[in-house]
Amino acid sequence: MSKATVISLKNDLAEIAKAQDLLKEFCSRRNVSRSVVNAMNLALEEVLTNIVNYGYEDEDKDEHTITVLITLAAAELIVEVRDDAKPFNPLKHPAPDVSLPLEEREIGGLGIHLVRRLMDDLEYWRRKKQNVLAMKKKLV
Amino acid sequence: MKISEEKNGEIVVIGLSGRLDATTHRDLEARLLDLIESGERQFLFDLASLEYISSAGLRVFLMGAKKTKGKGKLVLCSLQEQVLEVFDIAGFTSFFPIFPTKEEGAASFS
Repeated sequence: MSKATVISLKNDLAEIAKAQDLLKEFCSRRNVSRSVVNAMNLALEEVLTNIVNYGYEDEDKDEHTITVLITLAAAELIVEVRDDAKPFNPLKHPAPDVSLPLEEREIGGLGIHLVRRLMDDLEYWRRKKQNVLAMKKKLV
Repeated sequence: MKISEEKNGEIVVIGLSGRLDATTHRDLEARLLDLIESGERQFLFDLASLEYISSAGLRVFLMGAKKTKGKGKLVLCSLQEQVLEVFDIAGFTSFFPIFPTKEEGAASFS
């Protein structure tokens, strides 16, 4: 069985489920525990949603490709997302203050917050005009 | 995602089944806004069949909680474990009364 798989998506919210389906299938064949898959599945949706919703200018009607690379290493599940959207490092995005009372909580920032809390490790780099985000979750 | 709706006295009981995510949250958002604008103030969300929620879904609940604060009540019940965990990570569990069963959720209104 291969240790990795890859899928290319269009920058469209409707495509996100394809990546999630692939992730679930890849993981179930390799006996990755449900809690690890659920966490990565949600983090993946949050990252892809942000790329689709915020990564491109409104006037940009071109189709863009987002690549999702899924790898099972010895002790962790790694999902790497590559896109050619505007430079954006989610790790530098300010974290929402989750202790604020209801009236002061803002609608935004939740996605990145979830990704940070769900993942064990996050790495971002920019290479050849692409954003690359690696999300890592330890296997249990 | 499927949305079911029924009225139980003054309480609007909304059931969600499936996934509340980036592609499905708008229907709920529109319905909730409509209900609030038409004067409804008491909501019980039955989440027994909700399998998955992402930040897009959380935002709808946050909007609902903000709009009913001080004027009404928004209660959640029967959350599945993985859904409750997401509410927890987001720091939302303090914003909504959350009950394990629909009966307890309904009883909390009186």
